[in-house]
Amino acid sequence: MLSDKQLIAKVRELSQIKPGKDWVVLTKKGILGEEPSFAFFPYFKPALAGFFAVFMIFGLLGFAKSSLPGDPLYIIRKVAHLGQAILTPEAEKSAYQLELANERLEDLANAPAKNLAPTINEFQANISQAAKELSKVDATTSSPTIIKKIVQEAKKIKENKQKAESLGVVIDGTEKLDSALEKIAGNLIGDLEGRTLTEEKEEILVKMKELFEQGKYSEVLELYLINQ
Amino acid sequence: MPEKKRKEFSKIYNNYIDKIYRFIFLKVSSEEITQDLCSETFLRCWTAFEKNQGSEAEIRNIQAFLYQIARNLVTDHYREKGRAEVVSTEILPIVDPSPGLEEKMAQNSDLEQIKIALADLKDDYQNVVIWHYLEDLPIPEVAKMLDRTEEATRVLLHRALSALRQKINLS
Repeated sequence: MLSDKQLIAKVRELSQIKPGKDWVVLTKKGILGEEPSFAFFPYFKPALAGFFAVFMIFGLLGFAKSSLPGDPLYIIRKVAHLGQAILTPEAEKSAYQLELANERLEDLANAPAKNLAPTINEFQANISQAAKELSKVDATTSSPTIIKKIVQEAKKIKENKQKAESLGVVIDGTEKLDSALEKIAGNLIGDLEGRTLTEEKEEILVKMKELFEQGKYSEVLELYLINQ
Repeated sequence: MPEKKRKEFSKIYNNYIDKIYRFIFLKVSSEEITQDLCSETFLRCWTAFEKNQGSEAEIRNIQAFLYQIARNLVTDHYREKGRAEVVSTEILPIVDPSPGLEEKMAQNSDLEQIKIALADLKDDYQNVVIWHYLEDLPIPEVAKMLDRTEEATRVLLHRALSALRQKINLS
């Protein structure tokens, strides 16, 4: 005669009855359909993939924004600059390159030793590109707004260069910028000399020539803009 | 939202597939029929779950709902076979034709004996023994599923156990 305990133990042995694993999986698929391929990553659904990609790109750009030449993430920042350069209107390209050159000079102030050389190289590349773009600029026909922007950036470069040099960083390559600005200012003076000017404008032209002789090409352009 | 429901039901399926399969198998004693009825149970449950979950008509007790569907399907199965047919473990193939399960049952005569004895009990006795002793459901839960009071369920359980002992002693 079985006791209650023995009987219950026998009943519990029936828990060995279980369906086959394959059948369980197949039946589940039959009822619910296939498991999503990216089930291990619940947020990676096709509908969200675009959003996810944009989020990742902006996230990387955010991180890259503070990167310096020589850092692995700087390539992303550079690609962003290249993209922006392509989208910039032709007339504004020189000013944009000068702006980039200024950014590099500002980077120098915070750059650790390992980033100094790559940052200077980047600065020189930006200046070369800016000089190339400036060679296409004619101050007599260009929009005053663009000339003003070029003058502002050129002056800022001088200031930033002086700051960097005061910290002991030697920066070459600005001769190309001076040369390009010299050409623009020279052409402008040449153009004004060929015109009939009022007495007041003649005086301004004289001052412009003086500044030109002193190598202050940005100031020549600035003076011209102020008295336009 | 449908994906969320699908995931929820996937968990329900994983939690209850063994229990419902076992419950049906102990009543029909055929793996083939068990598989058919078990998959139909979950399919019906999924249809109701998908339609009603999140609404006022949502399923409150999924376990009770699954067992209720399974019980109805088993009843329908026997009804289809004809009222005249006597459901007896002596004439039905007790051991499941599936090699895995068949071997397991054959190797274990104790398991076979208890299975035959249980299958020979009346339906309410089977249910109360399976739910309380095999699946470890507490008495209040079993009482709800049987729509009886807890006291009446305890009495039923006591009688079911005595009946089961008698069947085993007779075999």
